[in-house]
Amino acid sequence: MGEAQSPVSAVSARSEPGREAPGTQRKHREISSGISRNAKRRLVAWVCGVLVVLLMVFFLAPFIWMIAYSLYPSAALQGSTLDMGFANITFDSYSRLLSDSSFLVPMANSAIVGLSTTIICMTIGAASAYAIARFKFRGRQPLLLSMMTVQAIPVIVLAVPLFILLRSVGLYDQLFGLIITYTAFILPLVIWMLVGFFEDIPPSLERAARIDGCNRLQIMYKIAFPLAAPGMAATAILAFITSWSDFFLAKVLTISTATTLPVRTAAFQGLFAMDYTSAATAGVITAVPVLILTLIAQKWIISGLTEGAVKG
Amino acid sequence: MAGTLVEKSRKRDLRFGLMLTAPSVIIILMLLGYPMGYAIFMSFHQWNDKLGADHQFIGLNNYGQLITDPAVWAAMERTAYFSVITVVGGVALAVIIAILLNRKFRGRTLARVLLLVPWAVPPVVNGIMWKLIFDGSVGIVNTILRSLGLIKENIQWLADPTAAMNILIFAETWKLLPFLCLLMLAALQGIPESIYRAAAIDGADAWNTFWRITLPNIRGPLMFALIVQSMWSLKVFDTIYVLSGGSGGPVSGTTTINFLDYITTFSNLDRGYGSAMAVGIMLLVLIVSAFWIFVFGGFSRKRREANG
Amino acid sequence: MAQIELIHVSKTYGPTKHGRNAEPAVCDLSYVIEDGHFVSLLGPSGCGKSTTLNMIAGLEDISSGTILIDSHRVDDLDPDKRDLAFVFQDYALYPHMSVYENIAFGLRMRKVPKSEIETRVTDAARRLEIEQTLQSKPKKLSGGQRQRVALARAIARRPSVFLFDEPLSNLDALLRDQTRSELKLLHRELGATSVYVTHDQEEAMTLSDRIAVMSRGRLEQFGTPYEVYHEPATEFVASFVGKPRMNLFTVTKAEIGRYGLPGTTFTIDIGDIGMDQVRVGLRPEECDLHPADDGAPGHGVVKAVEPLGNVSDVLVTVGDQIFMSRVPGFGNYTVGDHVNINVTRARIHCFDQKSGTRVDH
Repeated sequence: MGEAQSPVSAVSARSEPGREAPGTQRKHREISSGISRNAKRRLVAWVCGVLVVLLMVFFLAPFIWMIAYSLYPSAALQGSTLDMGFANITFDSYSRLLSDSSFLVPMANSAIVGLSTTIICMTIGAASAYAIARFKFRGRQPLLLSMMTVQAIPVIVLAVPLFILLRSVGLYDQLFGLIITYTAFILPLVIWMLVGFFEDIPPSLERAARIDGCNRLQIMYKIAFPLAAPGMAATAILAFITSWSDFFLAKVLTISTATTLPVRTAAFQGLFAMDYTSAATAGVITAVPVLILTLIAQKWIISGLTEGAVKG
Repeated sequence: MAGTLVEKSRKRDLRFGLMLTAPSVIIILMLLGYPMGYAIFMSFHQWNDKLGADHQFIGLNNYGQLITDPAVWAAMERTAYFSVITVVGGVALAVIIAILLNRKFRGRTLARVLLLVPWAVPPVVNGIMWKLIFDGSVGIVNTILRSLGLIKENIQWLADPTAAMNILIFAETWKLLPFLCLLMLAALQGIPESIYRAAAIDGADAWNTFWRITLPNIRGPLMFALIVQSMWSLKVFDTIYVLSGGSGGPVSGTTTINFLDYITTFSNLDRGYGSAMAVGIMLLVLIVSAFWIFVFGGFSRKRREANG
Repeated sequence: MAQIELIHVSKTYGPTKHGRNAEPAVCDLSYVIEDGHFVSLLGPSGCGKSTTLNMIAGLEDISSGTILIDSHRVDDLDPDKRDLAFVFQDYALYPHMSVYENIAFGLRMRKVPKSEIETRVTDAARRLEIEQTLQSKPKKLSGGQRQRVALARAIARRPSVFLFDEPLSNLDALLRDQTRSELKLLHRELGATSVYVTHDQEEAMTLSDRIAVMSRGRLEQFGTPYEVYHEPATEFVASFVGKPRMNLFTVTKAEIGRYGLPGTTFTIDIGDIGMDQVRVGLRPEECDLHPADDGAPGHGVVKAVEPLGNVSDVLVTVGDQIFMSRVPGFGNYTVGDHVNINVTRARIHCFDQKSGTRVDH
């Protein structure tokens, strides 16, 4: 039986180097009943395959529907039957929104705020995370722990005090006000993720660098940063996504000049009337940059998001 | 002499560490720590901007009002309904989907990448998306139901408080589920395959394998997922705002405690009471997190008997 | 080029919380590593040998004592100021740099002129036959090639001291033997003082001029391979060095100069050492077996025979002890045979029962 089993696992191991799934583990196999077991397994695989496809449809369809909505004139979609021929596709609402300064300004604001926040967070955060990951100074543990608990604070607790604070220093409805606020909120997340990436660097590499003559600062930017580069890129993308997507703080801390894209997009739907095509278009425009960045860094985002939980 | 050597190196480490962490700590203290303290300070005051700038110290009165306010209790009830379904249901569903996705099949990597789409969609866009689907006059759901002949007249989904709440749950689940799935998937992949083989040799069937091998081995990530999702569910805001047009309606049907706090603070301008409510929400988050840690028997004690 | 001197060196980890002192990782080491010598630090894992190496390198601070290199105190110098190169167990190659850059990095940091760097890198690469890999990233290399890059990086620095932290332990058996021979040749060519941490006694024996055997943070013996093997200073050294392991048991005085294993007919002559009981060590390869006379019980009964081809290890139950003898060829013993043990050929090592130190006789 052992003989019968080994070639199969050898083949499967070659075709799929990843770890074998719990559902597919092979039990003791009787050669005589091999065929029926095979058939059963194929049936299970088929059912699971269908379920996965349905699941993916569920996860993608709403977004695709929104894209469709942004591309067709509202008449084509609101009748009793859908008229979705390719001939009906129009980019009118895109060209309308992208030439409307009341939409372009928030878009630029979001880009400026997102990029600035990301740069500041990464500069300050990488240094802090490296120190926490590498140096055993007193207060290191509590510091890391507080980074985690900050995530638990509901934003609403800080909304009014921040509003008052920013207004008193003249930063209410200013891009810079938003930038520093986002920086404070995103820094803990950035540090938390980066500590994980830095701790993954084997300590012997830094020892080698010390023997080779690097001082602490040189070890940091010549060895640690380049080695953690993919992780840092993913963290930066995550920082950008977080600040780009935020609605609540932008809503509370801006009113007109510094309004961001999510706030503007949300404004397309009032209490009673809604410009559906514009809302869908704005939705797509808001989501697309984030989606592209996510797909670029998907591998590292997944590991960055899940590693801490699985490890600790 | 020898002691000073060690001291010296540790001091150097300390100085370098402090130098590198100082900017972060300062920013966080200034923009998170200070407002935090200020919020607690405000919660002890009569601080309503509609009533003018006279801020009177009223001790725990705001907190007392919190406990007796029927609006708070109604919101809490909705929050509980929303949270229990999205947290317990969401995580349970995520475990099942993760097991499904952990099988070997062609396009497994693609499936995992596609999971990131809902995760990445900004919450505001999420709200708009579901509005386009469930809208009473132009939503696709009505169009489909009509063409199937199941309904004659359009249903105003978002005009019914119960339906609106359920749509909110549906929309939030769509967005949160993928992250939970990825988390559980990573957890499953951390289980060495050899113990599944061992279990199979020991004669465990699929059911026993799940309860006695899989679950105990993803205990830590499971707890993490429940805590994180609890935090998210308790502070859900953006989707409610968009789905209800900023009202938390219809008839307060989607006004969770977090949204009630928003209305109190920014529509009614009752900052003092709103701050008390916010502090209450924060305590709630801590209590729920502690609850999960308690249920799972703490961080450190690993591998307990899976079920009973 | 360099002589390393350790004077009462100790290392204690961790702050002493609750006023309780932690067990020292390294305790009171004193010995001199002569210029040009190849010295192995040998011991089981956790015996403090890597800590000692790291302290010499300056990667870890020493808690007390002094380290001198060429009579200069170095305890306060950073690693890069001590003129030494380090070969790590996991090689510690910088994954983001090519092999060339890996080898050149230490030289660049020391502001060696560019042309000089190039000469030294190519020279080191040629010596270790890795010229073809210079432009690749370490990830693309096999384990053996990485090991060579790590060695080349050390050589290119031309330091006065080489430190090795179990550099061969990640190689497979065949490659390990080969590299071991090459290391020996390399050391002969370069002649630089080398300190080599290993838990593999074969490596230590074949490579070293001196071996420092360590156990639980203490030095057990510092001596030549010959001394360590034939005149173990402590029972620990006796049991740790030598394969198969030395037979060690307690014998009781039977008559003056003659000691016996209680409950058996097995006795040995030690001479008058004035002790009632003593620990005795006999190397298996120095003990011969003879079949007992027909019907006689002999010293013991054969328990198992482990043929290795050229020799066989025969396990004999003697009283409640297991005694091992290494016999030529496949031997002529089967389980259950009654045998006598003949130790006339053997060097008899005696150790104090309590302290474990060698007792001369």
